[in-house]
Amino acid sequence: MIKEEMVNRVALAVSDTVLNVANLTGGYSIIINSNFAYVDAVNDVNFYAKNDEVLGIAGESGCGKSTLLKILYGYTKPPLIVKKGNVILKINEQTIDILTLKDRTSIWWRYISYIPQNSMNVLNPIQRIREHFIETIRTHIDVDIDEAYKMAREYVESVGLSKEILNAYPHQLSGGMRQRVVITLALMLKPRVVLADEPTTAVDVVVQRGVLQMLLDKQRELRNTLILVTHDMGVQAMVTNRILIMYAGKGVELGATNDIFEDPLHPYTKALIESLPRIGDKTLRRGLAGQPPDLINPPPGCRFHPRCSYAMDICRREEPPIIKIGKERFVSCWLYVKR
Amino acid sequence: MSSVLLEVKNISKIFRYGLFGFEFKAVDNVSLTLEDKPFIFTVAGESGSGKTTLARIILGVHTPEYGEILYRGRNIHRLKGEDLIWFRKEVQAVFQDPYASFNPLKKVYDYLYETAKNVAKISENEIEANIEEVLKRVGLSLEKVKGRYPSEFSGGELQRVSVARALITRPRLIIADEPVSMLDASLRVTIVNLFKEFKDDLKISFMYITHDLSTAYYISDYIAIMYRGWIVEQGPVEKVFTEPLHPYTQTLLLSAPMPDPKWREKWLKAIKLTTSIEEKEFLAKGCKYASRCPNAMKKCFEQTPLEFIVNGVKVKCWLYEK
Repeated sequence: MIKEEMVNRVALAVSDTVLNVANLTGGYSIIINSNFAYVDAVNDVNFYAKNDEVLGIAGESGCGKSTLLKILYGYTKPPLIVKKGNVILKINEQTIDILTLKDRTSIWWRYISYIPQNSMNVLNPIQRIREHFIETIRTHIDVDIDEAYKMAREYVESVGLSKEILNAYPHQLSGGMRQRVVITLALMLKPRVVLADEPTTAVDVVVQRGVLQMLLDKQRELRNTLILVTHDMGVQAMVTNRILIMYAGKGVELGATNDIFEDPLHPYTKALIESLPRIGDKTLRRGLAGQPPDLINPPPGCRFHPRCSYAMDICRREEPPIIKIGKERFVSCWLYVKR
Repeated sequence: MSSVLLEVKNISKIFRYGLFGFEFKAVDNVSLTLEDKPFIFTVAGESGSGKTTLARIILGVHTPEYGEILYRGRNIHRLKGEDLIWFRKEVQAVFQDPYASFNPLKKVYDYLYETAKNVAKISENEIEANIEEVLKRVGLSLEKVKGRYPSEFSGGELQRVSVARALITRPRLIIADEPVSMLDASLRVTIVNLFKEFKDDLKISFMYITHDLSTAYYISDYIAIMYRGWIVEQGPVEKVFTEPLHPYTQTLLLSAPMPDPKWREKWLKAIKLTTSIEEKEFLAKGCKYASRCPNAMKKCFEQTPLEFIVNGVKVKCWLYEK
């Protein structure tokens, strides 16, 4: 009963959303020196993704962005556990909570797909590329092998790759090519939501541009939602429509990409944006002092307060609420609470 | 006294691979000069362009098959004994992955101590004061470092220790091979700011090897762009970034994502790229970039381009033949 209420409340917040994430909390239950410990990697994260947009998730290493993506996909195997929250996916006017769904394979690839980190290394080294395609097609569509192979050939050509690659083994392709193959696979069944975890970190800028171009072209063609996790603020600026900024397991700011870069609200976002050197500008940049907190034992109150130059008393005691500023702009910081 | 600090003269490094010893030139006829003044020289290029191999040759780790490297007029690959230690003192290095450059079972302080004792030859009772001084320079303290293992530091801190270690010998030149690519964005500038500071205060020159064009622009005075073992273009950083001459430099600058949404339109409009096979390019006759180049001419496929000087910038491309 309570859960239904939650769903309704979130769904009411914004229409034309395809994914609603409410109060999501999860992390890793691990053993260190024979003591149980819990890594609080994602704590009370709220956001939504709309149809036909690219949503970026940005933050530094260890801020929980990859963990968040895994939970969104419902890929929750121990030691990763979800403590509470909902991930509501809207498919054809129906809503599904991915976290309570028993058979997640029925929606994977078809409605929501996931491009993991190091995607260039996820292909099976002893299978030809075509077998990867055929297997994926046949899991979701009832066709025979020949038919599936034909579909794969047509599809591979339609995205601008040579059909020769279907006969190659993964090691015969370059890293950039393998990444493209994984992306192609993830997009084949026209999913409504695509989750991509650092899809271009291991490749060169020129190849990176090609891979990003492919992701963008596909997103425009399918008019679906691409959720792109990357720490590279350059990629965020070039590709996304909106950005969720994460810090130490918390969503600290959500807003349109232009607003985030031009008028960052949260002190962390400010420091992050100000630290980025830009070509054509040699003025001195200041980095962010200190280091992110240990997520086994996060600081009380706002998790950013030990490094924040605006920190007040309340920041050290209480967690800041999420404040809506203008249309579609959210920030979680005591500075913006009217009192 | 010559006013040249480091001179790299036509060096080539050949690696052999496979059963039949296929040859491949990781660095192909590269020349560059560092004048004897505080200077930041960036070598930029993608992975496989030979920039790390070049750094290793300059450090004396690899011996080139052709060409020579003169440091203050002396061939560094012929140095022995005391002279070699002199060279180690003068030229220090900072590497990419701080967790890989420190032995996880060895205390971080020991590295600083050993460099001070064996390379800098500082007398026993002055070592600690020296170490404290260099640690202060990078924003750390002796108490923070002593008795601790690499795993107890964050990546940014450990990279600062690497920089501090390089400072102990009071070097004239530091070769920094991708020193910030493992670090988070907000930490990167803290490290490259140190380089700037040391250039101004301690008169140290840097050879900054990177694939990150925005930090390259931010700190360097001069930049060389590498592609498949060649330096295709080198010149003052302002000139190369505002008016890139070589078609590869042009593509590289257009492809790099900029942390500023205002660049988006420009970035999206940039030329579409074709996929091509990298290995072939190393072995190709003529220009290695020709098969991708939008301006390729017949000549480009047949003859290796010469280096032309245009407005103070050296560019290896037939387009600029007079």
